Amino acid sequence: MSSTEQGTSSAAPAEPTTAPESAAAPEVPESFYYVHGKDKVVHKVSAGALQHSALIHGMISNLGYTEEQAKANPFPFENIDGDILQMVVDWCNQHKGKPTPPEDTNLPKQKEKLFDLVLAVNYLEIKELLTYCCKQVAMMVKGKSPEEIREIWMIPTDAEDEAAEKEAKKRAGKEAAGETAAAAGDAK
Amino acid sequence: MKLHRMPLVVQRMIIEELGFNERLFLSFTSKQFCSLLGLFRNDLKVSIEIDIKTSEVSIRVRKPLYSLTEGISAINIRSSISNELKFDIPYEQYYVYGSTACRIDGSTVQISEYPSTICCVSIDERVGCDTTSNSMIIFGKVLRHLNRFLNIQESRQCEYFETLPVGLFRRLDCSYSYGKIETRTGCIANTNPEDLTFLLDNMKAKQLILNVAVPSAPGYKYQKNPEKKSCIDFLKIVNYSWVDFSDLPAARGMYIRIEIQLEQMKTILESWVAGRNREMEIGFFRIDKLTDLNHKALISGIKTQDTQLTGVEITSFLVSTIDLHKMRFPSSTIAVDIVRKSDGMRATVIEGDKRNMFVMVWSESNLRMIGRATD
Repeated sequence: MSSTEQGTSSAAPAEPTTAPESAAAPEVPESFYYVHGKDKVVHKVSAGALQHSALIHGMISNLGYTEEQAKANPFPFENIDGDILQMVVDWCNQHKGKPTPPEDTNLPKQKEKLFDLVLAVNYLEIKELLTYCCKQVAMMVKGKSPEEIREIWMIPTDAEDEAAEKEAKKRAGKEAAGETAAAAGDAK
Repeated sequence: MKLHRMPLVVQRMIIEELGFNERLFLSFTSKQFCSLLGLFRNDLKVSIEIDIKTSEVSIRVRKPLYSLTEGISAINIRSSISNELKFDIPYEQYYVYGSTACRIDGSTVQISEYPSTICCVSIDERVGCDTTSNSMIIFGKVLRHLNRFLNIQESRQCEYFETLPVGLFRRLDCSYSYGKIETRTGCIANTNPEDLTFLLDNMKAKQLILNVAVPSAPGYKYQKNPEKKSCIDFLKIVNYSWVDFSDLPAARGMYIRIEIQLEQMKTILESWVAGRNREMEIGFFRIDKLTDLNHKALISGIKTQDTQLTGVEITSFLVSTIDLHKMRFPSSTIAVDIVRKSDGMRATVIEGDKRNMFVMVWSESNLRMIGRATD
């Protein structure tokens, strides 16, 4: 698998981005794993930081990689944009081994970024960060009118919902007809 | 940000972070979101109260716990009571300056803002202007809309302060269990057989207090639907022109506040013995002052027995129920028992001060109330 690191192409992640280490280093050498997003930039993350993600934690537990194997096989998250994955990695590093605070003020303010972060965090199963993100999303509509809420969350009107439903039914009908025709062709 | 594209689990987490007002406004955005809110309504417990007044119908939605004051900047609602939000639906439909249009159950409604109040006025083309029936349509729609996404645990009361708009009873949501439905018009309010039948046959209420007449149908007597099980705990009737005494409206407790004739009281008792009026477990009635002669007339033809209640039990019954009828505690009582022919059920008829009649059927709950074991 080819991977890029901070925009530099390389066959293997020679010097992946490392997160700032905490001052108090653990006595036992910490193991590191590697993840990359859609942009193929590989991030080196400690196992401690990755514990926040139930998904990655489960993968690590099942694989039992050595450091070398982990380096050679970064976990691919092709459905997550590189900058979003960077945010997630930063958050996991910042909160490694620490109790999570009641709120997090460092979440992105732009709604599209926040939306992508929510989806990524939900996929990676990082419960605390997801809670913060959902709070932030909910805060966006505090004190807003119905029309403003519709605009912020891009809620379709009833007419748009009905049109989309009709379209989906039409598409499903066409697909079913196509499958039937293909099956008839196979039979011949 | 497309919230409708989020996974359901995420939508749920976001909705759970929303306050009451945000959920309300979100419910106005689309049918789909209203349904989505309905899925997660269990954590949003509210009670409602309905007031029918001279110029409008009001629905008050109250949360049991809420911050003392909460401002809603977008629509300039600031509630000083703050644990409630009121929907006013005026009878006279008009254009509300500065309002926003919202879809509620298929109708376009102008929503305008007053302190702690949302004024709902229809601008739907199908609905004309200036008619009470239109406002009744909106009333029903708002009520149904609220029921879709709120966890309405208690409908405390529904009071009618003025004339009863035609069709109003039928707009009430039968899925609620009302604490109290009361007509407080100050005088007898006019209604029609359809509305009255709907109310008595379908509504669930701890107390239903009616002072109504049915002038559109002279001689009309309400006939209960035998297939509908009564869900009225206590029915207080003031004007009884529409009451059939041989087949009383179904309610566990019955109080007719205005004096009834001796013959009417006799009909109630005869019918009970014959197996009708069987929903009544407690009855309070006022009659003309009884003389010895008409006391005999009251029970003539009805097989009576010496009462099996003790004096203490009679007192206990009268004391326990005084809040319901608020009649003066009688200084002297005469009690006899009557027995229903079909199942042997016993009832004690207590005459107090020769003008108040109390009926206590020996149901389990009544026997428990007077302290008698029911094993």
